[in-house]
Amino acid sequence: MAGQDYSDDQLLQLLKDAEGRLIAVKKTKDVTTQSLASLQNSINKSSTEKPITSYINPLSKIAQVDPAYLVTEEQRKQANRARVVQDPVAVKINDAKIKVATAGSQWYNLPRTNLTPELKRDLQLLHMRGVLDPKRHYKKEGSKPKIPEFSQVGTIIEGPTEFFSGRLSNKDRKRTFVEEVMNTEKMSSRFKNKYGEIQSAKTSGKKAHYKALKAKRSGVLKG
Amino acid sequence: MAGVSDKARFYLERSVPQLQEFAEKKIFAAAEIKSFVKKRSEFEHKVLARGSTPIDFAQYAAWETNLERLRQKRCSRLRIKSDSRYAGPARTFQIYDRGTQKHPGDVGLWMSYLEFARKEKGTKKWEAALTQALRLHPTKEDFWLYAARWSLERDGDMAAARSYMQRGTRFCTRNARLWIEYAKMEMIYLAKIALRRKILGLDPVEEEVAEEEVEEEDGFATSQDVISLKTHTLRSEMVAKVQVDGEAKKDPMDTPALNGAIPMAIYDSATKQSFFCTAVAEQFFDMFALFTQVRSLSRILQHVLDSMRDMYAKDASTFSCYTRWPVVTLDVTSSEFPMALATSLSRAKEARESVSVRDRAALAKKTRAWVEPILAREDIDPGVRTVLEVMLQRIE
Repeated sequence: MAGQDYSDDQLLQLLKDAEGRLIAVKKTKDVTTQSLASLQNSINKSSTEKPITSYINPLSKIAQVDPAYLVTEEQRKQANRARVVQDPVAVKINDAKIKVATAGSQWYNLPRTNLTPELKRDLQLLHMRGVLDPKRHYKKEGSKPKIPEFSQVGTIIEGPTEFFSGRLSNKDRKRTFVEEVMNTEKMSSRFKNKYGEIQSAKTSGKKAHYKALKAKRSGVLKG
Repeated sequence: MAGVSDKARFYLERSVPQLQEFAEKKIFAAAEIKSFVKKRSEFEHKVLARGSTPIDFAQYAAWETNLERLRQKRCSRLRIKSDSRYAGPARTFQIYDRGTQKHPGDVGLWMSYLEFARKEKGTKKWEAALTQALRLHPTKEDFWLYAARWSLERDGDMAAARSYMQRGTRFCTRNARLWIEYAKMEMIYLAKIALRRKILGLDPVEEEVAEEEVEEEDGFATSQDVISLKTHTLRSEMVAKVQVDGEAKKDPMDTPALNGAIPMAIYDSATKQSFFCTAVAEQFFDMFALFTQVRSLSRILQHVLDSMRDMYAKDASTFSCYTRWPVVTLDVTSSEFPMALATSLSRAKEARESVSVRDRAALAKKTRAWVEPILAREDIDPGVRTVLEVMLQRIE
């Protein structure tokens, strides 16, 4: 390579010669004042790639909004895009296909709800679960029970450590929530009692009440 | 006044006196006036309706501006002295006011407003709008630059420009751009002072060297807007004879402010910011190096270089600046250049040996970036050319 041909001393000599030549040349121009013309007289208008500019075009003779601003970015994008014409029949078929599909791989392909009468009852029960236990409170839902678009019914299998805490005995186990609740009602008859309570309160002062009163009176007279 | 048309009517009615004057003085024909009202009504409805865009306001303002221009032309041609001279611009200002109030986040509309106020020479309006725009968008560097630029160019008010820049640098700490521009502004100021002293012949150092040259000076004698001054009117020996008190006799060029203390201070506070890195330091270095007129340039560059060598000792940028430093302020055809290049050459060798292997390619690229433009020049000395070529080959 040419770079290796010169030693440092040779290069220094070259530069010294150059210095001699340059001193000999009478300079006609003053460097400082000459470069002054090229001096940026001002700071930059903008420091970014996308400067903030006026909407009014400064170059046009009359005041005029720069036509580039009249169409928004979104409109321009839409205008530049090729228009896609779709066959309506094909679209319908495609839509049906999509409807059959699952909730997607992000949701572990959860299938569309298969609404059997049992599931429907269960969902209704879940919606009204607030009345089952007076000590337990749940967040309010809308008045109309909503059926989920995608759902699956499963059974929780308790672990071996939960034998006493998180387990239903075989006797209590039923196929659906509704059956379980019915069974509990059979044992505790809470709703039946509650019904009786309400009825007695509601009917007090009416026909049955009056009859009982009369019977009491006659009893007193007899006695 | 709730509905759009009610509001539109309110604003339209306010323009009635102006239109009446147009008709009375026969500046515009009745048909023209009718078309103005129609057009204004269209604009008002568009602007006041829901979903109006900043562009609508800009279009309305542009139309009003054009109408005002037309009125001016007609009036001057027909020699009519109009009473409602200020009604036109006032309407435009009001449109911009309404627009910026409705769309305070739209920077384009703010800029349109500022530009209109500036061209219309409505200084008070300009200042008010600028204050509002800066308060709403303190992190937009463009507004700070705009404010500093025009207070410097229009009013020549360095103090105001400086205060804008200082306020701006408080907010814009995401990147170095505004900081560099601020330092550049201070360098321009120093360069202008240097130039002024040169024209007045106040610089004793330059005096001997440039004695004959200044007289045949082309740049300023021929320039139309500079009064040609005799260069020897204020010689230092003449000044010395005059009795003045001590404070005035001191050379103002000895003060720290005129010796580059401000750009250095800006650089120093930039080094403490989170955006600071080698690339930023190099940008500062490059920017400073442009101002060869400033006397204290070598001090400033040395300061930058020292801090770079302190903070990023092994970086390619540091070595690139280190190599370039001797020659960066010199003209290629000057007689000092060859010896400076010799220093530069030895520094390049040092840089090549001490830079990390990883940065070697970057260093070569940076070296090429400054050597190649010099090589491209026609008027350089053949010896210098050979040395530069060797330098390029060695750095690879």
